[in-house]
Amino acid sequence: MVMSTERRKSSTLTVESLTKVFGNHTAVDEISFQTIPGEITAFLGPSGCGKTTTLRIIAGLESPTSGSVYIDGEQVNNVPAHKRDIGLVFQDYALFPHKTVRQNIEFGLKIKGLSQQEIQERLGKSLTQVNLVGKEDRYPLQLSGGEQQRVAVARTLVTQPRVLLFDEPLSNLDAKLRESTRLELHNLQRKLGITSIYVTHDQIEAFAIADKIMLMNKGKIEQFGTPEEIYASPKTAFAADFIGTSNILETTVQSVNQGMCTLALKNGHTITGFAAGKASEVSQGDHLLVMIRTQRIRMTTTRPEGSQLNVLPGKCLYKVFLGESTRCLLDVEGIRVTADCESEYVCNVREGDVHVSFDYGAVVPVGRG
Amino acid sequence: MILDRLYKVYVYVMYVFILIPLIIIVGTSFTTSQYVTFPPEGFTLKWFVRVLTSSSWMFSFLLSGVIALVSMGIAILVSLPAAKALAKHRVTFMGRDVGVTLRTLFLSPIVIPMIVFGIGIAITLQTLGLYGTFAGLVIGHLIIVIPYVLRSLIVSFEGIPDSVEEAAITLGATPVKTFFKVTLPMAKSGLIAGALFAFIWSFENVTVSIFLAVPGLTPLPIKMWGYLSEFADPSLCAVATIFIVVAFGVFLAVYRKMGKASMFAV
Repeated sequence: MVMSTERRKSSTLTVESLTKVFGNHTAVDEISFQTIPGEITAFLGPSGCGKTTTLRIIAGLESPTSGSVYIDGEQVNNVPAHKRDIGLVFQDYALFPHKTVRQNIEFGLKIKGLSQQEIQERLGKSLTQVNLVGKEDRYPLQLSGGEQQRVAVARTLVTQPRVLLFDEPLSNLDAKLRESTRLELHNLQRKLGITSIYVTHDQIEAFAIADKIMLMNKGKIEQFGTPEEIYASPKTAFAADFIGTSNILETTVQSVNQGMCTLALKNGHTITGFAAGKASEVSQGDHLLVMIRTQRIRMTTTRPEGSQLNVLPGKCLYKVFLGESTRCLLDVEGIRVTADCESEYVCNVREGDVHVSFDYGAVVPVGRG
Repeated sequence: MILDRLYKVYVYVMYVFILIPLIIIVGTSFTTSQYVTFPPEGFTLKWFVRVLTSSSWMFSFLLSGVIALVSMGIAILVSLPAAKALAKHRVTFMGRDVGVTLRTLFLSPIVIPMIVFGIGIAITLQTLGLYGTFAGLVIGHLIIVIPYVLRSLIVSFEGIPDSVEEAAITLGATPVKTFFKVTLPMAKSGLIAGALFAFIWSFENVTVSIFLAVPGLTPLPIKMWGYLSEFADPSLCAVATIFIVVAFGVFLAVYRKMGKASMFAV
């Protein structure tokens, strides 16, 4: 990676057993994590999961009930927000409506007391960076949503904060613009190498932009890892359910043999799955929740051949054509299973008796039943 | 269609009803006769000359202006922190949220008949030994105008998203700097509208002033009232015309600068 000379060292953000209680509601519950310098960590979770509160505590806009925030090893709990040197891009952009684009971007620089020359230099560079040259004398209300968003980003980046926080920065943009803006944001962050936190409830956005994902639910961390890890091996039923579309089945362990488990479904059929790391932890009779991604389930009229393949009898209840894929609701002798099949393979399958199949590898244990 | 026409006629009738007293007063101020007549006889500016060269009229005019300006200024200074606290922060007393209670209390002079306040203020000032002083008049007027300034500022502050102030803070501005560089400029229209109403309410007040005015310290409306009962010549109409022109002028100036929305934000 090429380091530009003006860039300063990327910072490390550490959070230690952070807790925030509002009245009798625990918004953030004993959260600890550490970011890798220069990476983007996405806080992902449903609304009310505590991701924004955690972000606001890091920014210093909210004080934690207990726990600590460290930047480069230095505890900042008692450093007021205006001295933390943390940039925050707000969901509603929070531009100063009475100031022009130029004045908005200059605001942080003037507060810092930089020389006029330095201010002009950074302003010029920043306007180019976010592609707003020629619009510097407009007021925020004279700009489109996307342009306002870019001003908000520029205003924050220009102060060269140690840590950059994004609070659902794209949620007010329309779908198309969201994607292109996301790419721009991603490129900019990469180029500047500022350690960043990105709050979102949109898993696609989180996957696309983040190096690490902190999946949150009810104030707690469900799982922390790369997008690939979280997608491929969710550690909890919540993670499996929240990320992607999947089927979660209740099973009982019948036998464990060299990392391969035979699991009994509630309808009496058995399936086989790899339980890799978990194989040593489970034993006969245990109740185990397993996840099967909808895309990994196939539906055929003839019995499929293949090794390491679970094949179950089922009924196709109905199909929903979604374009490239067709969503099929299947009944496997009392158990409802959703499958996303490639449309061209299932277009001729009538609703009725079918074979439902999936690889052993598609069966991922996600928790105890 | 007929209904539309009826509405139109109705609106015009209302306009005339409201404007007739003003038309009569302005018209009469140009009459050559010695008494108040309408339609005016002839055309003269002598009543205006007489009023503008009369030291007692000009004193009352200036006195009212100074009282209005001073009470407006103090009202703004007092209301700014109060409005900020009530609009943007949780105000507690012994652990209980008293924001709504305080707000109602601060705004109560708007709903309580002003004459009640007039009597109360007069008695209070007497006790304090401030009755018949300039300070006493200003205190009386402050009680009238603070609610208007406060209300207009609260509305303006509430209209400012918290995130904008937080943005300033995360960009390195202290809370005080944030207030003066972001919050206050964003509340500018509310501040101006509030100040304008404060000025007008103080300048034209009779109900409170009448209990506080003493000979030698008579605000314009009280002077006019007294003059009417003694002389009732057209110079009173000239004063009233000047009054209308000044009030309308101020209103128009602010309106053109700030736009309709801010004027009626109150």
